[in-house]
Amino acid sequence: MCGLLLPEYQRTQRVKKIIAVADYIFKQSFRNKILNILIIFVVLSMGFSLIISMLAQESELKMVIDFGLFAIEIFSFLTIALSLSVQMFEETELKTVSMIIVKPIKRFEYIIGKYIGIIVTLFWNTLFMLVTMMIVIKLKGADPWALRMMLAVLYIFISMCVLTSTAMLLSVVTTSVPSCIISLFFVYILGHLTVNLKHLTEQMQNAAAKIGIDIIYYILPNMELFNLKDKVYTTEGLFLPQYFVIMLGYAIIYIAITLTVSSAIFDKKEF
Amino acid sequence: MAKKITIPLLLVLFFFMMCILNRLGTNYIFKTQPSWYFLNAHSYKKFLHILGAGFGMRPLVGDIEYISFLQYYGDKENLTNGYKDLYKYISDITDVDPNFTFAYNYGSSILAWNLQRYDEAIAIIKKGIQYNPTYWRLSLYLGAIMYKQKGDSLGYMKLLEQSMKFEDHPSMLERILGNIYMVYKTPDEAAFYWVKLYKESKYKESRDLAYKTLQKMISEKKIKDINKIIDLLNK
Repeated sequence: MCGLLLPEYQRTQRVKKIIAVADYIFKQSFRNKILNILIIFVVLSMGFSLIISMLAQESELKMVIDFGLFAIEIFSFLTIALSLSVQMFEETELKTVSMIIVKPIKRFEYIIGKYIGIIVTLFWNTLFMLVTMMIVIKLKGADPWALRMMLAVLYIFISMCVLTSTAMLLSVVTTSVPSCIISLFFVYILGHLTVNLKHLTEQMQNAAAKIGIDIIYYILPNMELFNLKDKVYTTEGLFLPQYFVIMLGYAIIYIAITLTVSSAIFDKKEF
Repeated sequence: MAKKITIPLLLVLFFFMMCILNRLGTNYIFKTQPSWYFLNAHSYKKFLHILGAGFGMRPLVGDIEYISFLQYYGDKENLTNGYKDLYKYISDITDVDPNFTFAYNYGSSILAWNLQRYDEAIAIIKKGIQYNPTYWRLSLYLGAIMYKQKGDSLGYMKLLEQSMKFEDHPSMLERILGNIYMVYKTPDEAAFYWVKLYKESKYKESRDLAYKTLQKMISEKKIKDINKIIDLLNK
């Protein structure tokens, strides 16, 4: 935040450092075999949707779209989890973070660069999955450019950007790769349930339960805000511009807060 | 020193903004989504449905239920008991995905036209109308089934013809209407319908049935203007 007050030369240098870290993380992610296998899995699962849709007689296209959107979300989540575990393993076991920290790179620059690197990886993966799904839809003889479907994918991508920032925070708070991944998994589940929990508490009288759920609701990322997967066919869908602005604002602020907190914790960490 | 105060203050301010936006977004969901959208103590009976609703995967779980329904209906062994659980299968699909409009069309068509279980078919259609009030095509199906129940052939024929104008009609309706024409219309009128179905239907089953029926009608010399029908077929 204070970076905005710096002279232009320093600001350019800072951006260059962040880009260098992001580039390193992105290349590392794509060099990883597990992630490449994941991409092959994506193509296979989209192909699988083509086969399984044959079972859904007269409703094949719906099946392809529903399965495709589900696959995009799950594989995006796996991309985050895998990228993060690879980075954490290299940092803690291979001590690569020590090499980076002794260089004239500030710790928060490293955190932001790492975040951008994972997001770029995620972006290419999501794009790849979307194109594969569009090809499958085209093969089924339907319009692959359906706006609602595209928006649902965009919302999934934004939700995954939010989840990545939470994952960054968890990676600096937790001490091992398994604990970070397990925590991330629980955040993902609870993040999806918060709106339902909030709806339940509005009909409840129990004050303690209300407070407990409110804490979860406000602190964890609200993943349901970005869920348009099950509203592609409804008339009450949330495809309104004003809703998009609210959702985007929430995502940007959530990411800014979690990355700032992550940087502050990482700054105090000893290696 | 200033940095130490400014950043936490900004963080607190951002946190409040985030809470407000979260609340606004949630209110949008509360306002726009119907009550069945949310999990509550009595909303879902199956674990798979709870999972689907909790993770925003209702349509996918609906598709899985739809496949189970098709497998149940496709299994000839269930014919012996008259597909007695068919209503439950359709109910399962529409419980988890109430916006799966094709399931109402298809399910009620089977119940009414193939199994003559009109009350169940009407109940399914009424459920569809309740959850999809703007999807008015369901009202056409409801009317057609009610006429069929009363035995008013002209009434349901008219409504079925209207339903056929929409792309998303179940393929079985095309064949049902053809069979109704065979009973209530002249052989020539019925033959024209089968030719149209043979040439225009996107479903292979419908085209196959149309071809077979026309062959049978021609060989039995039921049609007066055979040449015209053959010309139309060859066009």
